[in-house]
Amino acid sequence: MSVVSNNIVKEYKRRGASFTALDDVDIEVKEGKITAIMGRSGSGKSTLLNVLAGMIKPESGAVTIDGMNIFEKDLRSRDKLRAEKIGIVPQSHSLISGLTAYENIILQNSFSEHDRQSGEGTLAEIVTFLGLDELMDVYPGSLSGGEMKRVSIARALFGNLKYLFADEPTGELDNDNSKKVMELFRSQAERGKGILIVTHDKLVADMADIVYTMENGKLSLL
Amino acid sequence: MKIREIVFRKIKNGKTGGAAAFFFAVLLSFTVFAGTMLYSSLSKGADNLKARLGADIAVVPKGQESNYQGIILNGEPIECSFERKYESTIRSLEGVEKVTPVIYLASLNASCCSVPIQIIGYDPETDFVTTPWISDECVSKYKEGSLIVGSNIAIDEGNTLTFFGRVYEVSARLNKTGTGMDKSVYVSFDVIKQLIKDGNEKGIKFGDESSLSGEDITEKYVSAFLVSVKEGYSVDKVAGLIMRDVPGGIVQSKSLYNTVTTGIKLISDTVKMLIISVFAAITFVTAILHIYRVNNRKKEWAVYRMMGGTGTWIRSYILTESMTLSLLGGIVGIFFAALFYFPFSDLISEQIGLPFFVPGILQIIGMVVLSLVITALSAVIPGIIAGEIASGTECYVLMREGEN
Repeated sequence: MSVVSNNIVKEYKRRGASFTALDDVDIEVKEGKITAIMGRSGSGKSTLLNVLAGMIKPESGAVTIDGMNIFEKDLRSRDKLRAEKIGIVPQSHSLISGLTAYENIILQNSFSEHDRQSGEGTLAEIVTFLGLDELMDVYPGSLSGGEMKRVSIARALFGNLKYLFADEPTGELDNDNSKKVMELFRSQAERGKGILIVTHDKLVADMADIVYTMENGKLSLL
Repeated sequence: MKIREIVFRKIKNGKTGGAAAFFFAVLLSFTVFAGTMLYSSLSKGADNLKARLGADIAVVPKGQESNYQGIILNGEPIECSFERKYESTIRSLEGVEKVTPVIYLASLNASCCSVPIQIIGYDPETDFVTTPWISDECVSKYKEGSLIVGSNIAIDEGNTLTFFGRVYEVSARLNKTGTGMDKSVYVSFDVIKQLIKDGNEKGIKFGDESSLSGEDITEKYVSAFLVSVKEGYSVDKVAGLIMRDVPGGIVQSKSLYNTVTTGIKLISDTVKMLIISVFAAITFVTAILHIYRVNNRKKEWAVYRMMGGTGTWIRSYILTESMTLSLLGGIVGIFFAALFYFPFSDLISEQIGLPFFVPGILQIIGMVVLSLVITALSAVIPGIIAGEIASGTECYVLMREGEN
């Protein structure tokens, strides 16, 4: 079981001219493995992550998640599939204001039918591991960028979804916290989770099982 | 977390951008609740008036017609005298079923009141207007020679009232009607005689004629005659006969009631128009406000979508949030309307000059529910429009736009 893309092409319009963000991209995110995509800003990494998660529809090509071609399904089915299978850490801050860190984390379960009890069990572990115990009652406005990122990671891991897609998960973290996050990802992969990381941090990529590089929309295995 | 939990948490922490929508909901529910209360109070007052009028025709001294309306509607004290000899003339007319004389006496120095009040004297032998509803309400309490007071008359300790230095026992207080009858004191002719005698001893004159005694007033002069028309006879026709044979003015109950209902209709039409206009205007403004605040929260919708929130979930969320804001605003609006309406209902009643009766608790609860429903409805269409806007855009586009 895995997330597989075949011949993905995605084009954007920029100042009237079209450019190719993804050019015939094939990739596989396997269960139990950490897959990393490296590349410079604007190379198309984030676009690929969003296509694999079903959030951007490509011009051509197919994405299958556990054997299901997701772009043959409607938007609602793709949303539901994401809720059931994929935890996402976006690049930017994504916590909901007015909800505490804890409420932001458990928000993930509002959209899936996953077993809440098992989710709560792993949550305590994740929160402690990421050093968030003291921050559970704190609102996003009082959290630093790094703290928000860690809460966002905890949210994506909550509910024990099958896949984790993380866009620059260590972007705002110091070295210690970056290492912690990668350790956590490793332990999650060992439990069978398929993890995709988009990063420009070579140290993070070095800790992955499979590393791709992306340049001008083209993906190649390192 | 359920949608309503998220909504309540965000509203509690002031993170919905909904302050303006909340304010307009307060305004709408205030208008609806105060408007429906006003309309109900007037309708109830008119119903009470109709139930208490009793007679079909009042025959009053020429020129006193509008003063008679003043007694009934607002309890404005008057005094007038009419020769009692016309009682038999009226009784003998075709179509007349019953006739009873009535005396209106303005008290200048009652212990209860800083302003003169209306004392209404009835003849127990012929009365068919006052006694029935006094009996209905006070049958077990009424004592001959005592006073019966309207609901707005304050009485002294020990259930007494003092007129012209004499203390009278108050045997009963009538239920509130919202009409001028609430500001009146009801007494039999025997008590009227005593009152006049006491007044005369203190140098106070009663009636149009000077120096009339109590006997004069009850036996030779009264203030008006109340007439009941036989079934099958035209009230207009009987009124015509009275006008032919009696040198007095005529007030018909139906015209008095019509005057009131016309006044109420005017006010109720105004209230209805006001509610419809305010509802339409606030729905429009609320739609703009909801669309504006939904557009300002694009990134939030993107995050929900990223986590797997479907378009239906987003629409439900936005509708729940819009309606919750409106309902909360509705509750506050009703609270303020009640705060304004109940303590000042007597003042409002005086200003309007029509029978006015604040409805009972069940009816008030009904109006609270109606006000909340109307206020919540004002958020439905705006909530649906805003939900469509937020749910119809792709997640990644929302995320990017939200960051700009």
